[in-house]
Amino acid sequence: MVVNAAVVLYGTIGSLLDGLLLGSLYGLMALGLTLIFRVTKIANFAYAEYITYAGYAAFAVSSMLAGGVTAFIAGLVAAMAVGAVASLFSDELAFKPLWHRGADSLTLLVASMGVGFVMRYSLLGAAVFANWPLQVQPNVANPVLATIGGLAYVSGAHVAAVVAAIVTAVGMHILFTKTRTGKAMRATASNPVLARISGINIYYIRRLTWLLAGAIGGLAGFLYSYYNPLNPESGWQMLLWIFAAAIMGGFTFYGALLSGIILGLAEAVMGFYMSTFLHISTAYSPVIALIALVLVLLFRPEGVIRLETHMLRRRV
Amino acid sequence: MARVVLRTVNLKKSFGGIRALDGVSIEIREGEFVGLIGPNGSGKSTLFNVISGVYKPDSGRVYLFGQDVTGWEPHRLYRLGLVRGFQVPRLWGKMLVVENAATAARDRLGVGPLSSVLDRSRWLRWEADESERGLTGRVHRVLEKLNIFHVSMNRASEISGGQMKLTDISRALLGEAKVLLLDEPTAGVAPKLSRDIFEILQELNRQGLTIFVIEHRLEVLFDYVERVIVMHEGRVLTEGAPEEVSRDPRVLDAYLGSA
Amino acid sequence: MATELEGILAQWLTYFAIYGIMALSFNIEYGFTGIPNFGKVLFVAVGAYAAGVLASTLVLMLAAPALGVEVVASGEPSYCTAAAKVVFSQAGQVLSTTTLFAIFLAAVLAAAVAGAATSIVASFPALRLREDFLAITLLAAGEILRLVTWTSVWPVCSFNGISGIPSPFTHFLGRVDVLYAGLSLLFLLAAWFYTEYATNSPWGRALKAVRDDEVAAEVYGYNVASIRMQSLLVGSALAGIAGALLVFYSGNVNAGTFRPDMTFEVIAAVILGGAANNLGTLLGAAVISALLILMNPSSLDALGVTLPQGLLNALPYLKYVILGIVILLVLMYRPQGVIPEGPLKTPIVEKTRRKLREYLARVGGQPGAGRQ
Repeated sequence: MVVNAAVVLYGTIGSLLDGLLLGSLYGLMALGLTLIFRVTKIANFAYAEYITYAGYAAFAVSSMLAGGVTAFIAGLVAAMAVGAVASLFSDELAFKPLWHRGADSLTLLVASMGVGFVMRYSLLGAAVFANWPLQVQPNVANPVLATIGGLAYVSGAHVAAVVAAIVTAVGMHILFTKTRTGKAMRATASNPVLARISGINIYYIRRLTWLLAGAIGGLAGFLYSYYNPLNPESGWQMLLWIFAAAIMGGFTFYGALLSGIILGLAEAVMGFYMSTFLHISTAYSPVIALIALVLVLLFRPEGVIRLETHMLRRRV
Repeated sequence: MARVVLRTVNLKKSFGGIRALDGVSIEIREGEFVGLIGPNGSGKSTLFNVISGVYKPDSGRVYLFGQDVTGWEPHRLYRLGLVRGFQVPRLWGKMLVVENAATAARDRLGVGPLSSVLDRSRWLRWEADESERGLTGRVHRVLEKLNIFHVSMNRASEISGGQMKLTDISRALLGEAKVLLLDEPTAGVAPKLSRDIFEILQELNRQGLTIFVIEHRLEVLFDYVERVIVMHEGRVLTEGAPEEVSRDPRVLDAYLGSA
Repeated sequence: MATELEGILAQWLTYFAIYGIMALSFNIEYGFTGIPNFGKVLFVAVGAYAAGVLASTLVLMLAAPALGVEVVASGEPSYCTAAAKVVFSQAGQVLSTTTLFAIFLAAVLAAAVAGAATSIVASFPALRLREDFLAITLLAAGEILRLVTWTSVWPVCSFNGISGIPSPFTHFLGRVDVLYAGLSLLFLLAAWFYTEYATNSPWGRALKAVRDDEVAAEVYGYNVASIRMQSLLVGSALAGIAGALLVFYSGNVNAGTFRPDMTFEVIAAVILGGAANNLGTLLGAAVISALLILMNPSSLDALGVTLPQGLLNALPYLKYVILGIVILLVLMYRPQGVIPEGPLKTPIVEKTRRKLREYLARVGGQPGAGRQ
């Protein structure tokens, strides 16, 4: 294949746009994971499933409607509600009881894998059992807002993802650093006993944390499925990216968003160049994020882009 | 005069802007029994942690038996003959008391994925040996001496605080040190037992063991040690025989916080 | 009916052997040493690929000339070609059982060595990261290997994998699956004896000391870095062997097998049975492998269980739902596992137990009454 200059130019623009979209979504997803980790110290593997469940909820609700703005709003609300409820339930049924028994971070991680298994495979099982389509997308049109050179385009999903990610990150940062609730969350995270003595209802704070994180996951799940069809394993397939973004961001909100965008851009742009010039399959592009994750954990486990201090290194 | 076995030169160590050690130079001679005292936060435990290799100093040197061991990992210092106990006993909680003691004992056989299997008959014989040099003999004698033999089959996390402290001391004794550092061996221990512990230490000291001990119970400590080093705000304030130190007004000032 | 039952039993025993070896290996690392090697599947895969590549290369070298088949490869490993498949299927005509067994044993050995060699890479993060981040790192490393081998022709023929690798029992008639189950169980037995001997020893105490308090272990003369590495080395060699057994069981090796789910199955076995307890670990492996085998439409069919079609289709997923629930219940209600960790079986513990009993008889106390 002769590489055409126009193809390269517009392909680059297109992959930049897609990378921005994907990266914003990774960043948005990482925000919820970050919130859970900051408040409860759980590296939550089940988080991916809240995203998937939310996408399915959006599909189910919007399919019952005629489409258009109503379906969009109904899908969004359903996704966020289901994400929040799934998240809260997993805490109430699994994580909180374990935390009460003094489970360590590794036990909670294993438990979160267990919760993830139960959720993911019951969805898969139910989908197969009831003959649901294995790829779903909400019944909402994704309008093309502008095309560039006939190859690259900007759609509603692009705008929605970027705006949602930025607004959520700013909102979370303000909530965490400026409000009483945020202060209570930080107090609960650093010393639950002390927080309780000083009059903070740590159970309320904990529930709020899980609801909020789940709703963020739900929002991300809706936007992802708005752009790209979803299957029962979509969340799981993105999970290591989400972790990569959260860890690169040192579990800070702005850090997670920026890291997510960098990872998304790297995946899309490098994938495009590798397939165009080196004829390397785009299937390798996930490896970029995984290698980034491993390198960050090995050499800067406290995060690359961190806007608050946070120690994660092994303490000896 | 006996040779110097442990020497530190101008040790400095900070934690996030707080100077825990601010130029500490000390000397311990072979066969000495030395106490280290000072108010809370004066840097005593940090000094032990730096000497025993748990922390690396920011600057300064540590010499053990004349060898520069600055920044060495603890397991290499153990091989040279330095053993330490902890203020809060860091026992291996899921193991039995007897296993804790046996794990710390010097002269090891069968520690390796191959030697544990290939050298089995040898380490089995050595471990079961109840005589002077066998592991079982040594461990049992130490546990009996410290009066914790009756809990030897309990998990280390399921015994009383005083027994944990004694288990930690049993590990230190079985480590068969040439230089023994103990960080508050009597913390959380009944007063009667405190004296028993120091009696045992004194006996070991008379057999030639060099002991350097942090202790808050000065009334006990001063009856046993030959020399006391006083630390304050990361420095050595003074040192000398117990009676000299106890008469030094600066020491009282340091403890009262008005120095 | 009876033969079908035999088939299921053989399948279960083979799985039990393979999962048992993996679980023993994970138990050394996680149970005894406290290293959460959530990249277990990485080492199994490395072992499987090493075994698959070596065995297929050897079979080609030895059988192709004799069969007169010319294997020409262009840009791909020769064992990926269609001609190679022909050689594999006819290898039995020219290779004796002795040769096939030699190839098998060489492949198993290669798998152990390859697994152990890979562990040196894994020990790099294992010495630096706190437990949960180490777990994520190793999990990600496993996924990297799976994605790369899924797409890359070198060294394992991308997603097609290497298939049709001849079994050492090619010349045997009758129940080859039963024979293979027996062979696998021999390996499990060897792994069991090794693990029991190696862990009930001063080395086992050192591993547990590193797990329970690594600073204290260092201070009492144990080189924590080197002990962690030893643990990973042994664990990974065993995982490699399990990978090789998996290859000769199906005759295939391909990236699709090595999903993180497999690691989770192994974790489940160890946590269910009881961490730092070799017997418990085997029990866990037996239960988990039974679950994996039974939750299979063909097994249920053979057992005469009839289920609605929809449920049958969902069965492969339902088994993981059950697995997840089992893990959660164990973590909540019996975190120490079915058979909890006990003292190591060493002479000093035996002698102390006996002496303590005499002592208590003398003073008239109760064992364990030492708490004050």
